[in-house]
Amino acid sequence: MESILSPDPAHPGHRPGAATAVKLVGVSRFYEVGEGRVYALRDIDLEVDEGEFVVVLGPSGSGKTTLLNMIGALDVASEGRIIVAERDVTGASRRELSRLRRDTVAFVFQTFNLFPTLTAVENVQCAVEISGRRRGARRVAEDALASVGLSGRGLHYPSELSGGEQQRVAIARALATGNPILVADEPTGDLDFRTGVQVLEVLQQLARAGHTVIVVTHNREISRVADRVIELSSGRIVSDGPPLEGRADVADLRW
Amino acid sequence: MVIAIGTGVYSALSGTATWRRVSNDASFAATGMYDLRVRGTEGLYADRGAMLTVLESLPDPSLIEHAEERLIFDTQVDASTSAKSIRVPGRVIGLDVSEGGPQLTSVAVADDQGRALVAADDGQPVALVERNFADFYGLQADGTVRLGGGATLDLVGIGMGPEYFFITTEDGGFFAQANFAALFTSLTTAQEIADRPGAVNDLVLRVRDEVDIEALRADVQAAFDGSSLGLGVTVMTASDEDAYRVLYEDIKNDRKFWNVFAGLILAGAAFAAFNLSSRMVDSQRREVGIGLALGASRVQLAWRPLLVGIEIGIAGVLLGIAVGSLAVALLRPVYLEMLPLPIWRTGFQWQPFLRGAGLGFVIPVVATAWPVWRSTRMTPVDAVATVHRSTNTGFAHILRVLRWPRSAFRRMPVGNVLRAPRRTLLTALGIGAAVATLVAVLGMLDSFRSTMARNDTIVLKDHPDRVVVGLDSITTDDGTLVASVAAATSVGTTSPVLQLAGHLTVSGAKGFDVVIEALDLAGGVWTPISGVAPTEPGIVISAPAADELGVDVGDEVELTHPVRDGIGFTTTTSSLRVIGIHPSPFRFPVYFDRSLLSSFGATGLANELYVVPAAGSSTDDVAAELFDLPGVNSVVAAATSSKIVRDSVNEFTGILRVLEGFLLVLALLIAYNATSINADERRRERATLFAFGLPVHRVMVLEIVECALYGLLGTLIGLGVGRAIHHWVMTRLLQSTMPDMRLDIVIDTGTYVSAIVVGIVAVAVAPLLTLGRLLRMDVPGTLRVVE
Ligand SMILES: Nc1ncnc2c1ncn2[C@@H]1O[C@H](COP(=O)(O)OP(=O)(O)OP(=O)(O)O)[C@@H](O)[C@H]1O
Ligand SMILES: [Mg+2]
Repeated sequence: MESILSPDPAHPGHRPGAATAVKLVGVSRFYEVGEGRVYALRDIDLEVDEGEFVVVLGPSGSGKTTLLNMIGALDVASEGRIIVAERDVTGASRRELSRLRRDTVAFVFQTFNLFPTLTAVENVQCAVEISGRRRGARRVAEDALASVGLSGRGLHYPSELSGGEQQRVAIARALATGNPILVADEPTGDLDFRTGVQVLEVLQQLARAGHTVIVVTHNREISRVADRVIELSSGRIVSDGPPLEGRADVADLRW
Repeated sequence: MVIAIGTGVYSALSGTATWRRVSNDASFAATGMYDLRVRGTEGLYADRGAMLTVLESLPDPSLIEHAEERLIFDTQVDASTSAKSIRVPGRVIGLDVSEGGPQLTSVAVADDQGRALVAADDGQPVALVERNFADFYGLQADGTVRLGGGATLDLVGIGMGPEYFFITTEDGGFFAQANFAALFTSLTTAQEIADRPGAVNDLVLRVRDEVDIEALRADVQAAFDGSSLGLGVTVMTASDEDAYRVLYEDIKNDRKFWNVFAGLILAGAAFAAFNLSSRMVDSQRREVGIGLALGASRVQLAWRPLLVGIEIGIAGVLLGIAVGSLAVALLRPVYLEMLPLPIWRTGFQWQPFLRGAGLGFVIPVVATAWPVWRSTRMTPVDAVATVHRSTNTGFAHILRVLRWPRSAFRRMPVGNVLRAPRRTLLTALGIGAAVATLVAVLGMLDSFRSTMARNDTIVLKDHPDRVVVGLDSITTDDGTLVASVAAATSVGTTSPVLQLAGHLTVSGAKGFDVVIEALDLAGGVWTPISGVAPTEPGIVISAPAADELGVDVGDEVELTHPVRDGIGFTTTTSSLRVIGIHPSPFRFPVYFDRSLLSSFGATGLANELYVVPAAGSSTDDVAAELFDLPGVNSVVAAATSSKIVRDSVNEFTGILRVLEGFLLVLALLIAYNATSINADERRRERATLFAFGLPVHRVMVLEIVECALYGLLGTLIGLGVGRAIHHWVMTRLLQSTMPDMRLDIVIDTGTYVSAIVVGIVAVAVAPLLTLGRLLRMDVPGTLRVVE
């Protein structure tokens, strides 16, 4: 236990003194399909510190979503061990997994998954309430919406919002939970440049404020805002380090 | 399964009419119901063989296949057991038991109820007691009965004779089994009891199949009238026999009545099936849309869901046979008990089943075809769209202004209910259909119960131990018979009553038959209502009667009634004022004060006495003491008459009980189906909640709340519709099928509670049944699906 939890000083982007937020050791995830196995992830070793802004890059089907689900304790590894916020996810009970998701991880899904029968602000408020803060949930929700530039659309239903707006609501929902680890699956995929930039800025600010932010994309340009880029291919990490094209400020991005 | 219950119960219920017809036919045939009966005038007899001889003078005696002489006379019967005293008027039917007879009126005896009469019984003091009477008093197939003249007969069995399958009184009153004991014995025995050796007074005939029965009847009548026998005979056909006529006529009313319920259940099930399968297809709408987008033809896309519909239909129909058989098995004993026929043919009825099954098959097919057709009509874009945009925001505006609940989390179920009104309505209507049928059926039971209770309070008021003493003939209320009854030690107070048959109407209306009782309206042992000024000439009629004639206190009605004319009676019609309306649920009782008897030319006459036992004496004491008093025809406790009425509605309550069980299952099934479809549709949101760390039990709570809301809505709809149906059944349907009785239109709290339990509680806990599915849910997989 000790050895696994102790930080590995060698990993890219490590800042001295920062605690480990996420650690994966020899993690594989495979599906039994017919006779054979399909590996979504294969033998992953990974360590992310608190406050890191990590981008996971890779072609479609490379296992990005699967990796996020592992980190977010939504999915369990077929092999290997996963430690999230100093808790061992491997072999955790349903209850423990639930609590972990409620208190430490916040999701932004590739497919939004907003509650269609709640308004934007209620969607956010709902997540706040689930995380245990009943009082002032509405305020927190409104603030979160404002921070993604949607203060005027709080009373709209998801069906009345564009895809990009829905995605921003989903981000507001995730950050309003106040959970330390935020995992976002293609959060800018549906957004135009200007709003995409807004979203990235919000995520970057979150990281600066001490949140661990893990963002999946297949857009190499976006990866330039990150401290660290992990590239996946066919379920394996093929590279891990600072952005290859060099770090860039959100404002300098072109896409 | 829903369809199965619908079609199964439908077919069983509508098959009961066929049961009854087939069973009647078989029973009458098996026990040798006569085709023609030659009935001698009371008190006149012929020598044995003389009646048969008359037949030979017929134009064509060969038309008659078989004939048998009988001796029938009325007497008093004391069938008291050690447990209770039973003293009623009765009848001895002497049958020709020689040569394996009788062939006609061959009294049937059930296996465990003793034995039939045999040739060796001729002249022996043995008899069969009639089954309706025996059942009413719970008599066994042994024991003895004492007859009016002092003769004693040993009972050897409980028998069913065709003229006594259904017991009516002389004036057509139903449910007379408590007060009429028929005893079947050998001809010789009957002659000995009557002290008329060799006498007969009755002849029954079986004729050849092709005979014109009316023509033959006339011939037979003429033959007897022209004979020197001097019997003064009446020739009857089977349909002149009350038992025969009533049993067949009743089927018609019965069928009408139960068809409504069968239809109701089928409709409820059909609606639910339609609802469920159309939603199932609806959820495949997107696939159809995608197919369209890919350029598949409509037919290609439509056949798959249609196939599912057809499969559901076939499965439902097959299961329906099982459910139908179960319903048949449950209904059978109810009918057997209600109508003790010797033969009951309660086979599974294929004809109504096929009718129900046809519907059961068509419904799911149509239910799937319609939405399939709709979705293939759509532009692919609409079909693929995740959320119906703008066109279907539901009650969004309500939600926006709705301040409660403040918590967004708690708002979720409310939002789900309000934002998808179509789905909500469909779910609620499905639940509503089940609840409505339940309320209608349980409400019927409540109404019967309440009406019976009301009747009891009326009949048993003032003196619950009241005894009704019937007299042999009409006498004067100051005569010796009345005096000797009053003088009996067990008798406390008595009040004389004259009971007559009549007909009540208002000018222009059809009217109906009534039973008139002239009693002491002011101070008698029993009065229908209090507070009527008896000095005022007029009659008291029952509420249903007043209602039907549209009259109120003070209005004039026309009463056709007998008037004393010398030593007999003739009929006349008088215009009389209604001076009171009594609360009986029955239409037929009419009362007036004895002071009015003078205008009937019947001053001081009585044929019945209301008796209150003396202090320390019981109803049984009165019966025992008065039985041997010459001139007393029957002694029946008033409480017995309430039991008769109660027994008479047992048929309905028995069948309704069977329905109740099926309905509960049906309602629960519909509720569960609606819920589980709902759960399916909400899969994604559930997965999202899991992702946010909401534990399973809280997700469950959300679902339960949501379902409870659907249930609430469905229950409200169901209660409304159910009450309307109940009201319709009570006022319209029953008026035409049971015109003599007016039931209370009540629905008990218990019924509301059951409706709420089924509609809300059962629906709300239905999500618990999906718990397994929830636990096994592939959360990442569900979240991943791009809709
Ligand atoms: N339930 C499953 N059964 C079988 N294979 C699966 C299942 N879920 C995912 N996979 C496979 O795992 C691999 C990784 O999937 P994943 O969703 O992680 O890819 P991704 O990198 O997120 O792709 P994209 O960029 O398209 O979202 C894919 O090849 C996919 O087919
Ligand atoms: Mg993905």
